[in-house]
Amino acid sequence: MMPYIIEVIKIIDEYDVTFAVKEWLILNGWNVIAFNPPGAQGTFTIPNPKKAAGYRGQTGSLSPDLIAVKGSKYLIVIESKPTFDKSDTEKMMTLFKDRERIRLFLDIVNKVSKANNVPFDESRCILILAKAHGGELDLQKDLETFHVAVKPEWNPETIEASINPIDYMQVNYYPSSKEIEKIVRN
Amino acid sequence: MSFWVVSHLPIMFIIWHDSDFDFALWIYENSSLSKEREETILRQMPKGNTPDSLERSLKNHSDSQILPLIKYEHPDIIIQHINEKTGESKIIFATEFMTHTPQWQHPAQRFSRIYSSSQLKIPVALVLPRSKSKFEKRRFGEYRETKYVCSPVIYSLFITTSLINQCPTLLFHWPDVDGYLVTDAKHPTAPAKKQDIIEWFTFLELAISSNCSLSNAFIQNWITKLKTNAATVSLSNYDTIKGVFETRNIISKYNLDVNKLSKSFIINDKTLIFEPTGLSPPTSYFRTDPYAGMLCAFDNLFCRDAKGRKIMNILLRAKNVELSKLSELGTFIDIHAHSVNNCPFSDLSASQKLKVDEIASHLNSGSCPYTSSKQQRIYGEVADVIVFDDAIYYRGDKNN
Repeated sequence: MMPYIIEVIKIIDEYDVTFAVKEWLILNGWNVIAFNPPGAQGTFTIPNPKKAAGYRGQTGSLSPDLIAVKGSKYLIVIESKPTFDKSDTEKMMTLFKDRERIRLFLDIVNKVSKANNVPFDESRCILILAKAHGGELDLQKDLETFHVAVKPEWNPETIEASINPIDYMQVNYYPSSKEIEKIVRN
Repeated sequence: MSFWVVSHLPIMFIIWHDSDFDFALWIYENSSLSKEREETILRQMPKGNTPDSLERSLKNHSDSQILPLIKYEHPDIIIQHINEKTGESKIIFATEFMTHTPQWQHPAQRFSRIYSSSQLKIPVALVLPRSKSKFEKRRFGEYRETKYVCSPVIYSLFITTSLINQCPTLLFHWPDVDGYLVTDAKHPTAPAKKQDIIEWFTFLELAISSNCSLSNAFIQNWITKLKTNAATVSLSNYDTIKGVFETRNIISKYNLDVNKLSKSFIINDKTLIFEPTGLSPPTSYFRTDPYAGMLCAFDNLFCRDAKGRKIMNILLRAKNVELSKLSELGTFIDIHAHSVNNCPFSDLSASQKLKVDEIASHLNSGSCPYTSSKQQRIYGEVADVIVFDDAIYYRGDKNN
């Protein structure tokens, strides 16, 4: 008879995944121009080109969890989830195949970058799509993957302000190719 | 029943946040809190006002001090100071940040997160864009940039609220370039520390040093600055307000039970009728946003005298909404057994005066309106009366 093995798994939430990858991006030379974790102020919304003219609501709009710019031409968009969610990443891939949506997105990135003094040349832009998650690792060949884990003692509900939360988190980056890895890593 | 663990507390500041701890870190790192010898803790506010949610988040007796500030809605940040030597626990500051377009509806919607802090005389601020650009689809399908600017009425609302509550209730602008927000590079959900945000930190420091009265020179100057943007506010500008009527006529028209009305309702000659047309859209049986915040704003703008006393009643006419259905859905609970005098949400002294077990028992009583839905917490307790299609609902706290 197999013995019972009790594995203690610290469940990570979407906020922590997004926060950890945001910190990783900053450490690796990216300028984060949008950080939209659950429960936080959304500062970046891409309108839905399919919506009716005159409609002022946000239905169908897209707020990626992280958007960052590096070296004035590289642009990374990251969707976070506590665990890998295939339908979510498929949705992101589909949205970024929509030319009109990409046009709008780049217009907004351009304006936000300018306001925040981040160099960005949209005519040379290279878009990198990525996913970030905790739980079981799942690699996809056409997407960058960030895998996040937290130490068992991490408790986001009560934090001593003097500590650095990233010390309680681990981010592993799994590149889709060596060429992209050179861009994404510092 | 033991609800909370009463623990030995060190001297500390607590930055209560609404789940965005990176934002709370931005406050800590950019303020004197990171230079104080006292420890600062970042705590997540309860996710909601249900007894379960409160029980999960509140660990110590002093935690219950935040209850009066969250009774209507939660602000983004509440700062509390706890002194081990004196045992004194004090809420010192509250603030809300908003990144949406700043025309009247959006800041008005958030006013329910400011309203109670100011009434409790806790210095409070709203940070919002002065202008914000959005790409919007036009008639022929093309996208154009539209820039929205902050409504002058919002400045008037904050000035009036500061004066009637004798509490600094200030407005600051999130820095922008051509309507695009400038954010902090390290903590991107927070604004860059420039322009008004430097002044917001001055305001916070005054609160930390307990020097934050309305007579303070900085606060006086800031209010003077807000006045340059403010507009005269008139009832007739709002299509959500049906009008102001003689109270006696209102009592008779809606057949109100005078025994269930507060004394002040009967004394006040006039009653304002708030009657938004969008209260029951297909997506929600009894919609709150933006009307719940507007109700709080109208209360301060039109219904109180210079000392904050209620001089005009507010009646909410909820067309196409039935109280019986709200009770069935659990949106409204029966509050007849609610004990206002023992309610930890009522004011800051009540939560301190009550013992842990008394607070726990109150929250679990099933009759406290502040543990109910946002509709009952705000519409039910800020309006004096709600006239539904099938019944009349009378506010529980007759002293407000």
